[in-house]
Amino acid sequence: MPKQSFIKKTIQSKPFLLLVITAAVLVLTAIVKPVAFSLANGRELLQRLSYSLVFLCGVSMLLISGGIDFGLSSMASAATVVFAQLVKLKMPWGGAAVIALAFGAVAGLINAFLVNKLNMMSFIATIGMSSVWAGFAAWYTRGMQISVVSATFNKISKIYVGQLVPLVFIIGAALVVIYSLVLKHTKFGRSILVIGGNQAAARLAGLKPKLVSSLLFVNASVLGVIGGLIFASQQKAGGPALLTTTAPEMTALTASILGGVAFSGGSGSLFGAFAGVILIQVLAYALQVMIPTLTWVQLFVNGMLLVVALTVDGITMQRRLRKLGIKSSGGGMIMPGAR
Amino acid sequence: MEKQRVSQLQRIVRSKAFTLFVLLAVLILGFGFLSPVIKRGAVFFQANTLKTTLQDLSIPAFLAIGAGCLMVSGSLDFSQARVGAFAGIIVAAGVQWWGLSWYVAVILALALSAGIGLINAILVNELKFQPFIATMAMSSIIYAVMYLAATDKTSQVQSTINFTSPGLSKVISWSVTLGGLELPGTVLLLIVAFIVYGLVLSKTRFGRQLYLLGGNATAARLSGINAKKTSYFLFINCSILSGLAGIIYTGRSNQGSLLALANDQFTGMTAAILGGISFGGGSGGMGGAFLGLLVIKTFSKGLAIINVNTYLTNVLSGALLLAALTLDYFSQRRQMKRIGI
Repeated sequence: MPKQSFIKKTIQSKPFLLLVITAAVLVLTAIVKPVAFSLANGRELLQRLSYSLVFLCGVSMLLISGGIDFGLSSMASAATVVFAQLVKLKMPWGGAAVIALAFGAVAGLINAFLVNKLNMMSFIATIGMSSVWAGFAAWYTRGMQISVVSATFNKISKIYVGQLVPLVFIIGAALVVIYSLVLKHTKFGRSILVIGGNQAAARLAGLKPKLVSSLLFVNASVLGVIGGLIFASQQKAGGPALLTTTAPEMTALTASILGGVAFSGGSGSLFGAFAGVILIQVLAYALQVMIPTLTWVQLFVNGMLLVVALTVDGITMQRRLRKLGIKSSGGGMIMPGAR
Repeated sequence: MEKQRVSQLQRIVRSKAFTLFVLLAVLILGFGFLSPVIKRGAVFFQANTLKTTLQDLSIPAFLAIGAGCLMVSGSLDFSQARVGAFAGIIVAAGVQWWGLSWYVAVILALALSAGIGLINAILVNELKFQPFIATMAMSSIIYAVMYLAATDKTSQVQSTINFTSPGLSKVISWSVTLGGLELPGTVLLLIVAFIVYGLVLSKTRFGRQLYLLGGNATAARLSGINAKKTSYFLFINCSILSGLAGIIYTGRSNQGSLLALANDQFTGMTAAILGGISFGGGSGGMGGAFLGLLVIKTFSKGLAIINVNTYLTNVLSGALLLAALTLDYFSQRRQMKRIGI
């Protein structure tokens, strides 16, 4: 009996639904354009997923704790500029990478200071920081890209396991597993969920919401830099707008909400977010392969996904509140939980 | 009597408007006397500086009015710059490709902007999205629609659409000469708009309702204010004003651009916060927002005159937003302390 209910629960769960939709997209692609299933396309898709997954870990954990960071792609792009420039100045790439990561940590600390010390709402603070980083990077490079002149570093993203799977994808997937375990099975992970649900209650229960939130801001920024370095290795360059056009933090945000992470924090799992990223990237790539000239459709679908995800999130939330017997206060004019 | 007068003076000195005035004076004097020292041949004190600063004001001014009204009621709109760029693309494509006369294209652009505002309001009020994420999602959807509108006959996406419309240029560049100073019509329009919106906010029932909504939404609803209707009005108003800003930009440069107004993305909001419209809503007014805008634009004008790189101006817009928020935080904390919370 419990076994049956477990199967039922799995089938009804959001991640399962997302994977079913992904499969449907793949089937549709196979019907419309069978030649799309080539080794090159498979590799490209996994390459795109690899840095998305790294970003996802940082963004999801932050979102579950009730925070948000819209400056990640600008900050990560600035970090790739730092990295590429140091390599150009004959620094070994390992050392340059460490400095880029340290840069990310400092950027995360600034965000944490603005949000937790100056009590700014995280979305506006990080949006402000995003234009600061983008501006600095563009000023330093005059808007140009800097090529990474380390052949070893550029080859990292070209290492494939069994012809198809890039090493960087395995790194991304491993990070998802690790963070998922931390979230579910450690005291620290569960404290993130509590803090995201109710900060005041968490404080009364003896947790340190501000410390945890600050750690997660730093964590998101450092992971953002790692994702940025993977992207830099793929592109063989660093640049002030390297990641801002693909905006992996927005993809990660949409994926998290699609996968059942509540927008207001406090609930969700990394597995759901993982399924969300798979769906988004498969759908985007399938559209690109099927209708390459209709750029606007690709952009439109991408934008609509966020609206759909938020709508479903809102309905889920209201249903849950109703079940608990709380009358919905509604988002409306006020902005609850938008720390 | 004596005591009361002192407290009156104190109140003026303590007010945000006074701080902004001082800041503005410091900026003007500073740039005026230092710019020749920093860069040879750079002159801040000249008629041209005043004229171009005023012209630069007119685009973000409409953004600041729209954003200010929304923020007073405790909401906000991140899609402003994109709505403006979208309206510009519609006007340019309408005149150049679809064969519309310029005023039809302008009306169409404003109507579509209003439509975007309506969708924003629906997302926030019916689907209960938080305003910042609703308007951010909308801006990415608008971007997609812009791509559709900017696709030419050969299926190529044009990032800029050049067009010629003598009628529109004439209207946008129309100006009056007042006491030797040439005042562009757009500047006149922005001053009138600030005064009208300022009066509506401070003197009418509707305006006071906005403050109540921003200060305490629950109390406002219980006292019988129709929060939904107000929110719809404000979002549509904000989008129409953003569209207007985009049309002025497009009319001046004779081209619609996918990236129009991108530099002014936060200018409206920053001006409003600098001017005392608190981020949570319920305080501030149009006079403050106008002063805030003047401070921002004088600052960037001065930097341009002493030849600071334009990319650094971008850094500045973000840093200014954060600085304004920090000031807002400290003034709120002081207020809380005074009340005793």
